[in-house]
Formats: sequence, C-alpha cells, structure tokens
Amino acid sequence: MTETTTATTAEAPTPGTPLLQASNVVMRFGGLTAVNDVSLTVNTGEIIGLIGPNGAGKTTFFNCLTGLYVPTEGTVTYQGQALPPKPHKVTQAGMARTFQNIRLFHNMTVLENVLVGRHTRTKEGLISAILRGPGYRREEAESRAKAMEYLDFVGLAKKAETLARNLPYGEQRKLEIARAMASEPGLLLLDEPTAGMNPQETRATEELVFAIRDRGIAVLVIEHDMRFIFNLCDRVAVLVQGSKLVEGDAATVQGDERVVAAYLGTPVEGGADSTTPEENQ
Amino acid sequence: MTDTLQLQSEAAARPKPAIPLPTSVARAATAAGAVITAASAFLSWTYSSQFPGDLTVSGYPGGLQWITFAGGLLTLLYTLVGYRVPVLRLLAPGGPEGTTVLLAVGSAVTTWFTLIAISVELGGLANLTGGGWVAGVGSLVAVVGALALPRDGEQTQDAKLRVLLYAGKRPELPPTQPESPWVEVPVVLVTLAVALGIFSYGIDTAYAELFGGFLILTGFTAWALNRSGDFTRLAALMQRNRTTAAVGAFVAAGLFPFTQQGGNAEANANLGVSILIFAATALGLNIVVGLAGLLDLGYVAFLGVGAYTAALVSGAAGAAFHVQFPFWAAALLGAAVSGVFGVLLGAPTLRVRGDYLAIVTLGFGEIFRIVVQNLDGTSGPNVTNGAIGISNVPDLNIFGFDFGSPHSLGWFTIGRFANYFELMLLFTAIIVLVFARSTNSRIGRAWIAIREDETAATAMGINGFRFKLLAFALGATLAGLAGTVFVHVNYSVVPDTFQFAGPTPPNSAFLLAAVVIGGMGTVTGPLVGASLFFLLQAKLSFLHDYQLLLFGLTLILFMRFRPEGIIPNRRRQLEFHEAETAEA
Repeated sequence: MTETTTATTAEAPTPGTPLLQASNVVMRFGGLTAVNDVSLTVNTGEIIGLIGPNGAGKTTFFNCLTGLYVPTEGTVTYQGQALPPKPHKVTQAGMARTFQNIRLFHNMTVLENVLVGRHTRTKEGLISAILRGPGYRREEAESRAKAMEYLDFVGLAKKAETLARNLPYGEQRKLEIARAMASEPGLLLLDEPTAGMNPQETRATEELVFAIRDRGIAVLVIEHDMRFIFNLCDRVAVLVQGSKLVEGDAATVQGDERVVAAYLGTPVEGGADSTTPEENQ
Repeated sequence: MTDTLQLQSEAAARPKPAIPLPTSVARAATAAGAVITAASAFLSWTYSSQFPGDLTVSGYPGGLQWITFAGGLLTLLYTLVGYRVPVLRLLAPGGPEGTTVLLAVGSAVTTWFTLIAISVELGGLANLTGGGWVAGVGSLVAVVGALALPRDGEQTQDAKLRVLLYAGKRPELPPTQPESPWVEVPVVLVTLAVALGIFSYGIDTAYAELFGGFLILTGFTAWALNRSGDFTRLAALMQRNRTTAAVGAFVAAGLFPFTQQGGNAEANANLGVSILIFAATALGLNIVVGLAGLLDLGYVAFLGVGAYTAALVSGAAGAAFHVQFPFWAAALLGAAVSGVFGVLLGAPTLRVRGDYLAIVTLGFGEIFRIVVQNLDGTSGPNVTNGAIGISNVPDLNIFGFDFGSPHSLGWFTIGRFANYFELMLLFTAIIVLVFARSTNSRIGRAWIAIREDETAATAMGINGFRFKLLAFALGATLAGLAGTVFVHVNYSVVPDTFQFAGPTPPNSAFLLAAVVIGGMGTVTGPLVGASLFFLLQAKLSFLHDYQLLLFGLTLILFMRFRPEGIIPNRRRQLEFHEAETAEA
C-alpha cells in the first residue's frame, strides 16, 4: 500500500502556478466567527488536505470558496480572477465540489446526474432543444459520450441507467465525484469523500484522487481519516476553531505539537478514524 | 418435519378463497355466471320505457344493458384465461384469478346499480321483469364462483384493508423481450382504437345513470387490468413504440369528432374541445410543477392573459382596441404576452421557495382576476370591460375555412365545436412536443435537478433563478397559447372564469389536481387526469354542490392509494423495474 502511494507521489507533477488563492478569509455569523483570517493557496497539480476537529470551520471555509457563503472579509481568487460569490459562477469558472452529506439528484439516473454536471460546458438553449437541429444533436451526443467517459473513469459505466438513489453508498460518493468532474474543473473540492467508507473503499478513493490529479486537476480535500490524508496530500492545512494552526507536508503537520495537542491526541500510528459528520453544513 | 413447516408457511402466505368450493366448480360457476350476465342483456329488464335507455326490449341490449354485457364478456374472457386457453394465457401475466374477481365484482356492481336505479326511479322492485332478475342472479353467481377461485398475486396481511386487497397485488413481472413490429404495431393501434371507443362512448353517455354504470365498470376494469399486469405490458409496449403510439394517439384523437354524429354531436364536441384546452393548460402547468418543482397556485391567470389578449385583437365589438389580427398573429401575441406576464410575475415571486412560493402565486393569480375586473372604465381605464367581459368574439376564419359553420366531409358532418376541436388538437400536439423535447434536454435536466436539490444544482453550475424563471415563462406561454383558442370557442371571456377554485374547470385548483392525479412530470399523465376530471365534472353536474365534496374525496383517496398519479413518472417506473431485476 505504502509502495504504490510513494510511487505515485514521486511521479506527481511539480507544483506549478497558483490556482486558487484565498487570502485572509473571515466568515462571521452574527457574533460567531466561524472562519478567522485563513489564507490558503492551491497550486496546479497539487493535492491539498484540510483537517481539523469537528466544528473547526472546514466546511464553512469550503462554502466560502465555492460561493455558497459570501466571506465577511478577505478575497478568493481563482487563476488570478476574483471569484463571484455565486455557486453557479464558481463552477463556471472552473471549481467543482462534492458535498459532505451526499447531495445527488436521487430520482435521476446515474448518467443524467453526470449530464447535469456537464451543464456549464454545454450551451444549447430551450429553442434549440425544441427544434432539435443538427447542432443540438451533436452537442447532446458529445455530452453523453463525455459523461460515459467520466462514469467509466470512476467505474460506474455499467450502472449508467440505474437511479442514483438505488446505488450503494460508496458508489453514490463516486457518482458525486464523476458529476463534479463532468464540469471539467481545474480544481476539485472534496468534502469528506471517505466518510462512512470501509478501509477498502477508502483505499479505492485514494487511488481515484491520485488518478484525478494525474489528469491535471488540483484537489482540495477535507477529511477526518488521518491515514488517508497523510498518504494523499502534498500539503496539509490544519484548522482549529476557525483559524489556521499550521500548514505543511505530512511530516511537518504530524510532528507539530500544537496539532497533536489540539486534534490528534495520540500519534498517527493509532489511525484516528473519525467519521462523525460535522454540523455546520 | 421441514416439509410440513414449509407447507404450513405456504398455506399461511396464500390465504384460502373466501368461499370453499372445488376449483373446477368455482371456475365453471364463474364462467356460467358471466355467460348468463352477458346473455341477460338481450332480455327485457323492466316493463316501463320510462327508465332512460328503454330496457324493455328483448332481442338486443340497450342503454345500461350494454355495460352489463361488456362486464359479462370481460369476466368470461378472464375466466377463460384461468382455464389456460392457449392464446389467451398471454392476457394476464400477473395472474388471472384476482383479475377475474375484480371483473366479476365490477359487472355485478354495475348490474345491481342498474337494477336498483330502475327500482328507485320507477318505484319498487315490481318494475323488474324476469330478465332483470336473470341479470342480477347471473352476476352474483359469477361473483360467488370468482370468490371460490384460488387466490393468486401477492397477498398481504394488512388487517385494515383486507377486503380491498382480496384480489391480491400484481406481482413484479419479469421484463419481456420485444416482439416483432408486425405484432407490436397492430397491438398499439388496437389499444388506441379501443381507448378512442371507450372515450367516445363515455362522452356520449346521455343520462347520468348510463354514465354512472359506465364509470363503475371502467373503474373496476382499470383496476382489474392493472392487477392482471396487462397495463404494465402495454405501457412497456407503448414505450418501445413511442413514435407510433404518439402519432397514433393524435390520429385517434383527431377521429373523435367523426365518432360523434348523433343529436349530441355539438355538445360532445364542445366537451371534447374544452377537455383539450384544459389538458393542454395542465401540461403547461406540469412544466412548472412536475419538472421544476415550483408549486404554482395561480396558474389559470396565464390562460386568462392569453384569452384576453386574443379577445382584444379579435375585432370583437366589446374590445377596447378595434383591430382584428389574423389568428396566427393573435395566437403568437397571446402566447408572447402571457410569457411576458410569466416573467413579470416570476421575477419577484421566484425569490421565495416552497410554501411561500405557493402563497405568493396564489395571490398573484387573484390579483390578475381582480385587476381585469376593475379595468372597466370606472375603477380604471376601460381595457377589459370589467366583470361583463369581452363578448361576441367572432369565429375564426383561416384561409377561408370558417370555423363557425359546419362542414361536410363525405358521410360526416363536422360542426363548429368539432372544427375548434381539430384546431385545439393541433395546438395540443405543439404543446406536447414542446414539453416532451424540453424535458429530455439540457434544460429539462436542469429543471429536474433544481426540483431534486437546488443547492446541488447550483453547485453544478445551474443558475437556479434563471431556470426557474424559464420554466415559469414557458409554462405561462403554453397556457397563453391555449387561452387564445379558449376565447374563440367560448365566444366570450369574463374574469370570473379564472378563479383559484370553483365548481367548474378551468381553475387553478382543478389544473393542479389534474396534474397531480394524472402523474407529475409525465406527458400522458396530465392529459389523462385532465380528461377524467373534466368528464366527471361535466357528467356529474346533477350533483351540484356535492361535486366539490366528491372532488375533495377523490383527491384524498388518490393521495392515499396512488400518490404517484394515474400514469407514474418514467423514473418511478424505472424504480419498479429495478426492483424486478434485483429480484431476478
């Protein structure tokens, strides 16, 4: 297991230009400061981890990045451009996300879910949908082909016509990733992608995230599973009570006494698997 | 030991028939009862011809006797399926016995409904002749025989509904392989022809007793065919031959006026065109409610906008503008104005979600009606002529074809309402096409995604507000289009037509009910739901105020027993289908 991981990490492209830059992001809900002055940079080709105890503000920070919340202070730029605080515009710009508690379109088929993910990369409107000209047909066929490709990538191609609600849990997570990837993002934000998974599934997800990175997509991932995050990430940022405590590679973070005190409790060999869902979604 | 246990559990899982008789006797009794029931329709049932339909004649059936005749034949047919007659075995994939029970009970209820109606109306059982008694006894023999048949299907032990579930539930059917088109296409065509026949007969029922009997038998037959699995098979068949079925359905509908040539032809055609307008409007509402998931309680206002727009440019004497647009221009204008109103109403209201949206749309619907009522020259500028409305809207004349006068076509005469029926059918076809194509496209997927989970949909790059507004505007446009025909059919337009709720369709509550009862998000659902609703309302008008009570009761029963509607959504079908494959 460790061998494969190190091998993949060694082949990883060198961190390139900054993709996402969040500087001094503050999010206040009334008197509560959920995110306090957090800065984070994600470069192309990187996998960045975001960890922290429950209620540390990880998902709130995520929501600030993806436009679901408008940060009280601070700026978020993507490829040098300030991100508009609208989720659909953020996706348009090239950032796609998954949700902590799976949010699929349950009564649509697996394929349709991914096709919805293609929304920003297609442009046919109502009139052309009604007239069904050659342009519409071409785009629809192309869209389906692409969608099937993403399903194949996550290993769900055989279940394309199944209803999303009837998928087993692990496959629903995969479908969410395929749906997010269908919008052809430059940066993928995964909110606890292994929550509720068994070790085998977690391992498979790990491979999937590496494969996503190898396609040139940077990944920012929130996780509680320490082994997962330290195997996976080039850099890890630790949030505690809304503030960023430390940022660095796995060794630095694991070695940091404040982190150990605030979050890990015991050294990582124990493998602190916490799957308790956060409540600030 | 294990065997005994298994036998016991088997016996427990499959309850005994209600009447203990050998199966062969039971089957023979059912068949004999069914034959007697059908044959009794050829006898005279009463002495007096005062009962509508004249049931005094021996030799051929009349009026309600036809219903009994059909019920007897259907019962006999499914009894023969139980005898494993070679070709007929294909008829009941879900088991013939439960189906036979439902049909036998259905024809007995219809027959006794007739006998009781005769006795009540003419004063006493003495009015029944031997033929009537033969019919009554025959139908009861069939029921007794059917109740002694072995029980098939899935039996549940639900204590509360044991009587209703006696016939069992349809077992999950394995998917079938497609037959050759030489078999499938004729089956589709025959189904459509039968549907047209049943619909034409139902709409032509001249008196309430006949419609009552028709309704009872149709209801039981629909239940039975659902139980037998024939509907499931037919639905799969139609799905495979979608284009043929769609074109065939429109041709069949287009033939409807040709089936109405008697004295009631014009009234029936009027009913037909009203149903079409109502159904087309419901289909527009289905985009808003069924696809985008926005509960709109003021939808009928858009029908009103279309109707008023068309009336104002029709050259009617009472209209404020003395212009006469050609109909195509008036129709496009009506649709466009309605669409603009959709955007105007949607822009502020769509910022709220769920129940709040329902309340706000309800308010806007009423505002439309009251504004139109007050644009009468005293309370405001005279545009709509107030509560009196715009009357004397001239008949259409397209390419020299006068919609106001009857036309002869060979042996057939096509009257005024029949002309409009064909016009409205064309409009309905357009609306169906728009609905079907937009559903199955990038736009439709975005709507469904918003309905399923708006947050996730926006995270996928869908501009929620814009797409909800688009659904609202498209729905309004389609209703406006229907409204332009509506005003010409009815000669006039008054504000009171466009209420939230009232005893007569179209109103917002009925439209919504037609969509929900028909099946949200489907094409055929609202069409079927709207037809059923309108027909019931028109035929049961003797109930007066109790109609609304009946309407409420129907809604409650539907929500309790079939919340997915008459025609379930494709996704729900898929859900069932998956349960089948998972079991196999």
